[in-house]
Amino acid sequence: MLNLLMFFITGLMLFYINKKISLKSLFKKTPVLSSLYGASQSFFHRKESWILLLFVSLGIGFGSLMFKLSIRASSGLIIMGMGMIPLLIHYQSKAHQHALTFNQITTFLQHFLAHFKIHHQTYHALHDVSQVMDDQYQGYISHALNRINENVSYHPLTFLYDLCPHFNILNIMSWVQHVETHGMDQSYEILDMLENDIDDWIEDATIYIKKLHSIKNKILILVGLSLVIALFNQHMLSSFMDLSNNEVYQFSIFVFMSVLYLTIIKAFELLDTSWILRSECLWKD
Amino acid sequence: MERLVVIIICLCLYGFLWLNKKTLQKLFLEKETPKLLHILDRGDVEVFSKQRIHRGLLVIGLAIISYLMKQSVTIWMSLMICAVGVIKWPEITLRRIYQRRLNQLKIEFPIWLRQLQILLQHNTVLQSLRLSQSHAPILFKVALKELVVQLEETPQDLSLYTSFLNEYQSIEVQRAMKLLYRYNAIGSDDSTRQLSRLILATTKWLRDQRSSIHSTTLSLTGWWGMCPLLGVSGLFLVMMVQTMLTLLERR
Repeated sequence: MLNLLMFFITGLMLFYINKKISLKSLFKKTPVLSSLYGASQSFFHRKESWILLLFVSLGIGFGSLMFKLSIRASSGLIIMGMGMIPLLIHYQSKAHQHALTFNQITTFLQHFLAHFKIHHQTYHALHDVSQVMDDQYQGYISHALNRINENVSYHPLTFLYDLCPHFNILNIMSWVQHVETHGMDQSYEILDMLENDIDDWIEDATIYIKKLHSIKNKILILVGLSLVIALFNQHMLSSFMDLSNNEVYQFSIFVFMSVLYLTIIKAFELLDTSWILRSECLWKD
Repeated sequence: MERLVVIIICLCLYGFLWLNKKTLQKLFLEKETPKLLHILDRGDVEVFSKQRIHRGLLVIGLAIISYLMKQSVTIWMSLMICAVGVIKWPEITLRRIYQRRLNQLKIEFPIWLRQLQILLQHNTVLQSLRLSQSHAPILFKVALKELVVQLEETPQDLSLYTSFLNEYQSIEVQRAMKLLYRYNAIGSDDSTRQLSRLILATTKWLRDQRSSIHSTTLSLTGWWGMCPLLGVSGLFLVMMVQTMLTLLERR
């Protein structure tokens, strides 16, 4: 009965992981992890990932020996661990991706406002900004410049608003339009306000993400601490009974480890938090 | 004999309650319910209170039947608790929805105000309000449309500004609307100063709202740290019981 439950828990955990990322893609021959890691695949190469998986399974195997777990319980834990690692790497890469997106948007806005202050024209400002942006944004900007050449009424920042409908972007779009129509006079106060808004946005988002990362680290420390306590518990009990043949002990440790796995996953899931608040993105009918 | 007396008293009481449903409706109707129903557009107060009292009485009827059928005290007591729950639940739901909307307003209003401040740079208040309608939050789009129509008739009426979204009784909204009125009423000499004050107030408001959302998320996520500790406590308990059983078996 307990063995069946262990099997069921393993299946449940794998099902949960599979819901987040496709485990099947791990076994494909072609750029296996590209679908998992998205934009930051260069950070996690296939070879390194397999080596990591090997190390993790060895670590879990060693842990199982220390806890005097049976082969059945150990294999369940190793399978869950191996399924968990790609998910954790996926969250790491997502964190990198979120940071990159936010950094690109705010850098673009700051540079754009700085250049717009000089030229008072979006076309020239965009042209100058494209030189400091990466390839992806250069593509967007050149596309926007082409659209302006074709259609004068096209707003050059529409591409950014489509990417992220944040209120700061819409405010800048609105302000730019007004300045181009009425001139820069009396607009410096609003420009200051917009620049301050972006600075506040960056500051608040950075503090928030830092706090989230520190919570993640604290949870991981607690996981480590509870493992140490469990190990002490095991050492005390080994003098009273034969743990390797005690089914209740085997099952309890298995459930405990599964809880720890779930906690680790949830801690890493915090990394998959966007730097841009959804509630600050503009409502659409 | 005693049981029969209790049953007769119960039935009489139930009949009395059933006949005085209207009094019960008034008794259970809280002060804020009509206002909440109006804001949330959830129909008539009369229908609302009638429905919940009716449902509550039905559950009380079930409790009496269970008593007559000599069911355990636990069953009829839980049915009585259920009856109170059935009566109170719609009220609680209303409050929850209202609170959610109020929170939404507190986030969306300063964002909309920011857009308005940009429009104010080159437009009058009325014109800015009119232009801001296209990007106004869905929550108060209709109210804004009404405000614009009323301001077109009487642009200098303070009560129109102060009554805007006053059903939510948000001090921040009222303060912002008063500042907007002052900006509209006072001549161009002082308008820059008024606009600066409005900008400062909105900046603070926006940051406060952002940090409040962040802190809510952070406080919720922190609870995951309890999982390993609870896990190890559970493990400890199970193994303690196991040890005691082993020791008892040895004896």
